[in-house]
Amino acid sequence: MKKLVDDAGRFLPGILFVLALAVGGKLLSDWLQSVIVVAWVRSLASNVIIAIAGGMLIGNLLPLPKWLAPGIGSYEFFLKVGIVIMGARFLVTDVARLGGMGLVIVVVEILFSIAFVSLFARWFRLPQKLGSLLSVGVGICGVSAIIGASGSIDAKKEETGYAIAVILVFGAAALVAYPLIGRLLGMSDKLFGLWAGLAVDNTAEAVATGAIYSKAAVAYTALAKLCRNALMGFVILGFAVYYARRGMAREVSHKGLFLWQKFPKFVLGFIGLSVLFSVLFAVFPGGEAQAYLKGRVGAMKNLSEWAFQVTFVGVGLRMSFREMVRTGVKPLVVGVAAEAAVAAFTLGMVFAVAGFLPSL
Amino acid sequence: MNRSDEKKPALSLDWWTVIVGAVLAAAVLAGLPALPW
Repeated sequence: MKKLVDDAGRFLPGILFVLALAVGGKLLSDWLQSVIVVAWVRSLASNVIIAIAGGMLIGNLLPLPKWLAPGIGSYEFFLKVGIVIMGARFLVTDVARLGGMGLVIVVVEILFSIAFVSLFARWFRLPQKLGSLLSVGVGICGVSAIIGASGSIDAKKEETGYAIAVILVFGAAALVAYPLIGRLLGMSDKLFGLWAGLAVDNTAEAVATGAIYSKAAVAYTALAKLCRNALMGFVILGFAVYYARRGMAREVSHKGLFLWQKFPKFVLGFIGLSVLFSVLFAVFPGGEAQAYLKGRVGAMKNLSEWAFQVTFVGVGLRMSFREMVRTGVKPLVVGVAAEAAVAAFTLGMVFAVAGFLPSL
Repeated sequence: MNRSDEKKPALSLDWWTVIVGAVLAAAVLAGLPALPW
């Protein structure tokens, strides 16, 4: 009980701070949307951009007290809850169809990313494990994959910090660059959403990039990203076994258990709610019941919008200009090359399979 | 980072997100009013 009270005391101030910024950002965005008449300027005042930019300015310009940090860092919790709740919006048959195809695309994307980043890391003579961490970060899902892999391959703390910094710098760049490229190429919501989910490394930044593009795109982004996240365990296991065979990391004794431990459980929550709502829609076909359920899906959608709004503020608050400068040039060069290659490759892939992809 | 040094909580953050998501879904299905957006 005492631990619970201690934890609440540690996390609550930061959580309240982020919640206040999220609500303030949404109100400001709503007001700007109502007063700005020029369409393209109005699109810059979306709730996503206001939340991220506001968080970034506050985080970098104001000396925030240290006791806010634990709560601010908890936005990943809101992100995952938002994704779990999002499951209610998808029919499980659509998830299976798009997810099945997504998994195939994701496997190709992961293999390409890992091969490419490893090659570049070798050319630039980065430490081998830093190269592996970068390839895991670029190939799968950014920060959580890097943290998961660093323990499993016994990477140094500095290598882990470096790899995370590179992923975060590119996450920030993606927020601006991807929607611009998407608009230039006239991409549909479906194609852009899938592309962002395949190519942006960190889940929070991927969802934010999809949301900046459009409300419809973010659903595809989340699904594509979930496919990548779901495969995290297999890739980390591959690296762990590789380094263990070379005597550079400990052996993995129970591979099945290892995979289960690394599996992101919130994906199960997403699928669970998708199944639950799909079953409810199928079991209650009457007009009144369907209308009620549709209203409830709307309520779930609003909850996930708020969870993501908190996430976007957190993403902004975490972007440290000082950290970006400190990251250094070499891993950044590898990062630039890798990200550009993965972006181009995945862009080509989504255009190639566009005709076969089902819509949500 | 040493795996043996990591403190493992009884339930991981991921499981808590599933629990919170399930509780919210139950509340919404039971009639929790929609938040304005």
